[in-house]
Amino acid sequence: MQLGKVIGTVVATRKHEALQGIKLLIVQPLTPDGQPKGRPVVAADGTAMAGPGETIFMIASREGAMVLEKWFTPVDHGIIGIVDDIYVDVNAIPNEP
Amino acid sequence: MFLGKVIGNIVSTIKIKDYQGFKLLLVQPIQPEGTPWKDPLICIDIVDAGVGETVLYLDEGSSARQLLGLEPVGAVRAVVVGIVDEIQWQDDEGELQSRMPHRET
Repeated sequence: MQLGKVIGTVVATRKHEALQGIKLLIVQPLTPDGQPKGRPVVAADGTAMAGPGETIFMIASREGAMVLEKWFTPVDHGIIGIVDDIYVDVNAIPNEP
Repeated sequence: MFLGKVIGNIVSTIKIKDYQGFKLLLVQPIQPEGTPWKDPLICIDIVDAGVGETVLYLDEGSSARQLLGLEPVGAVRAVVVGIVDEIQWQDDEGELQSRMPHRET
């Protein structure tokens, strides 16, 4: 599971019927210190409560669809929850080689 | 399963029901000697690991669901399943190395 920031929404009128009623959000993956890492992805919102500007955590691949009520759905990134706090101990971070 | 070092934790109130009651840790994947080799990830903790500890985690959906009693459907994947006492490995020269992470300062 990774951290991400919601940076936008996606609206699609014509889509697979299993995707009806599912909120799609554009998410920028983040490192624990809040820096963007990699390309934004479109994720289905399992909480139905996330919105642009919020820090969330998400799950990729097969499990992405399992955040939804109807889990037999063509989805590969799913938002699990909204992050309140991230605590990182800088002394615990191992050194790069 | 992979070796990792716990570098922090995540607090979340609004989350899907599969995650209610579980502690979430930030884990940095490491090589046996302790150097990072890929980006940190968020894991569910079932062994009460703490920040700074070297742990064993798995990153595979069906095993995670089985462990957490969420079969057949649960949006879980990464789970911390052990706290490491000692690691032994062969280095590039073929020498046997070992270390005890919890004894290091």
